[in-house]
Amino acid sequence: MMIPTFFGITLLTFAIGHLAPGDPLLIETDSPLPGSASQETIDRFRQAHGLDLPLYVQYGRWLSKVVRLDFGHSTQDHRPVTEKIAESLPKTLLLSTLALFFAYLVAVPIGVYSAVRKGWLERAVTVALFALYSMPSFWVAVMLLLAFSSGRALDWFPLQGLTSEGFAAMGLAAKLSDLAWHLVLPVFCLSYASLASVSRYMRTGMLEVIRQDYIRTARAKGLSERTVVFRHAFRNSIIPVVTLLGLMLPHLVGGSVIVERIFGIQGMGLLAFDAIFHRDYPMVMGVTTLVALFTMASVLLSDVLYAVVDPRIRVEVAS
Amino acid sequence: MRAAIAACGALLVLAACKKEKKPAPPAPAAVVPAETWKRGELPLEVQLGAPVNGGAFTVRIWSEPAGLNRLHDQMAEGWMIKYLTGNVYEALAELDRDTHPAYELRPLLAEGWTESPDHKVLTVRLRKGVKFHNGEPFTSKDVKAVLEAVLDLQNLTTNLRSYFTDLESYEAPDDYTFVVRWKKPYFLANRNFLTSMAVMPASALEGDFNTLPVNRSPIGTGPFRFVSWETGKAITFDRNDSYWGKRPHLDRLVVRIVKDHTVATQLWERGEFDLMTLIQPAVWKSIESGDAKNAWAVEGYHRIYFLENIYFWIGWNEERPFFKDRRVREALARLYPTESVRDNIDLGLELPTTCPYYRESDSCDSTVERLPYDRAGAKRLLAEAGWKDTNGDGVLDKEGVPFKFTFLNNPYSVRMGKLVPLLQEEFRKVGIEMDIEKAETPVYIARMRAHDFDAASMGWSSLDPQQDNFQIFHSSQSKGGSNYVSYAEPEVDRLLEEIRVEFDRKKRNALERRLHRRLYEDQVYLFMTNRPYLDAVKKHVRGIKPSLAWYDLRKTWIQPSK
Repeated sequence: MMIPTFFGITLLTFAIGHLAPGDPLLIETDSPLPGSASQETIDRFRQAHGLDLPLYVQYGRWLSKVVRLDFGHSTQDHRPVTEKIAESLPKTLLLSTLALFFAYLVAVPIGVYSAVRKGWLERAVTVALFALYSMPSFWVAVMLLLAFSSGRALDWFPLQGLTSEGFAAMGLAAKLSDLAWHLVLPVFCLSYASLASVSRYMRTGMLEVIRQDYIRTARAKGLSERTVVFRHAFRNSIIPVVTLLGLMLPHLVGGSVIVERIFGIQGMGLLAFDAIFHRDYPMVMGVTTLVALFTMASVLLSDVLYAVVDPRIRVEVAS
Repeated sequence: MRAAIAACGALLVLAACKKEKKPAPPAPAAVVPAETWKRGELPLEVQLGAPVNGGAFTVRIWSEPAGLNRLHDQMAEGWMIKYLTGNVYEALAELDRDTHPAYELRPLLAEGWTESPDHKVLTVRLRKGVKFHNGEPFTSKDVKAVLEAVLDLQNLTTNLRSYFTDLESYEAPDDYTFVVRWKKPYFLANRNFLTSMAVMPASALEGDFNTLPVNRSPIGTGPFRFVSWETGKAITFDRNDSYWGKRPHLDRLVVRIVKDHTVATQLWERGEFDLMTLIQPAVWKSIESGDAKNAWAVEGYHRIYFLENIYFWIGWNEERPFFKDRRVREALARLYPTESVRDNIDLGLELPTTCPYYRESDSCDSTVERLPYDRAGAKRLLAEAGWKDTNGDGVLDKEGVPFKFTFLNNPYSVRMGKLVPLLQEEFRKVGIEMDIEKAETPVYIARMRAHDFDAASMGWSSLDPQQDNFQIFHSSQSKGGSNYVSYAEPEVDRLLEEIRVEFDRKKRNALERRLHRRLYEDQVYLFMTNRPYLDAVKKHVRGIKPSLAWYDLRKTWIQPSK
């Protein structure tokens, strides 16, 4: 199942990318001499990169290189696609893994709490989460910088990047703390929205389970509420949240254009955005392939996780 | 799991205690900026005093360059040359900033040169004893290698190659002489050759041009040498200790890449840039209010307002039935609400222009007057041209064709995003229906080139104020050139041809002034504005001065605080 999916994704991206009007060499320039590139140069460039061939031939060529792990060179700066991805991927992975981790760390308890407790605090949490979920990240990011980094109000966190000047020369502890110091705001920006949604999923899952007969039985046995909730209900209610985790994993490598741009972090989001904007076909395909592989891996992973958290579901080897 | 949580908790604690809070600064009193500060003029004191050696100079740029090879099309946009490669590479000659606005040539890697009386042979004597940053000596074989790289049709060097269409031959008779011969005389041929060949070692140009090591770590002869490039973060240069010329004062040049303008403003406010560039007009205006909260800018920085050699225009495609008639183009120009645009969109910072040359040069005729905003006059002109509302539908028509067209707009131009709807409203009031279509940059440029638009806008700029408008306005340039509007006028063609072979600058300027007047009268474009640089420099920076060739950082120094 995965191999045809992979072909489908890459073929579609390839076709859409190449059929969109524009050309890698048509970049904005305000010099009248001779615009960004003469037609002769564009033709020569297209020829050199095989862009003048029929699409299916181009796709075939691309595919035959990819199986040999050759993703080609970026048309923007002519560096190998793999080198550029290798430069951006760790930053994005670091950011989004932490963001996901913190989102779950906070969201799961909130979800459980708001399912089992009723009252004004629960309603307040609901409203607060919805408010958080509705706030656009570009605005939140700029506001956070103004509040915590500009020195106008507080001066706690750095404005830009992941590391300080002289990072390479620091000891391990200093490096870690420097990194953590830089990560606080961007990680928050990346995690608050999923925090809100995950906690709602958790709450729904919990509510469904808590109405079940076996919970009533557990209570009737005289078990403490604590044991009932955490021992019996929680395990069963976590299933939808685990599925959600599978769906969120692709974002780990996709990155975020907005957060990366505002915090000045050269990650996968910006890489993909610039590539599309510049019609950098090899780069676009490189990022797409990576994300596609990751998506498929995460679908597989969530299936496996299902089996782990829910013994009723079994992975059939035959499929 | 528990261990992981504990570890993260520890990280958070570390993060929180990492930075000790600075003592809160005393609340500053209101600070009213001086008039010179408001106008963006550097005070005289900046140029005075004895230079002090040492220190790092930090500049902000807003985009990541594609590379640092100044010969490569994708790596030689104006801003890349100014901010990055301009300090690493040198050409045979440079534009002399002391001769603003004419910008005469000053020898750099050439000791001097001679032109044959017919201007077709240029003999350059090269400077001796110059060394590249990698230690190799500079000789004529390097000039030859650079020229050959530019001429190689396989290389993405179209911009520079266009200077050499009339090249007949070249040779390097000895190590320190280089000769160029042209098929026909052209007033900019030698100037272009002398100023645009970024010289790098011949050895650095061997191999695939797109993936040369110099594309990432340039080697030149300039006052600063390349040190490092951290993607998305900063590019660093150090003083070249073995520079052939006068020793530069700065030890280090750090060019920081900050794409987001809001974040750049905050970094600037914290004093992280010695030179802040591309200040957004709204920010430029807001910091001059005299409020205490702007004290950091007024007290910490000098503002720099300097007009770039760029003009923005709206082009009417003359292949369309509406725009062939000069009177229609004039009518549209009379509907351009100059004052409203100036006050509401340009915030008084851009200057309206009529001239396709650098406004301070002798190429512009200062007596040409801009058409006023005048709706009645526009209506009269449209009627004279035969555009009347004959069927009473509120839209002008002529011979059964309604006056309806589409403005092709680039969504990335914030200015045009505001301006075009304003024009749409003005046009509607006289019975012209204009639609707005947005196309992203690659599509936009492709359509301009294919003349596949009714109306569109662009800016033309040139680093060198001695420029040739042949590419833009000559009728032959409708095909393959930059005459996107298909303008064709025999008298203008003649003037453009005469200018190309007039070597006496005074006489040439006279011809250019005639051309300017004629082009404006013809309303070849709706000429809009010249744009300024809006920069700011820290007050401890001395020996810095804006010019069309950017700041001369060889002369810049940092005054240590007492």
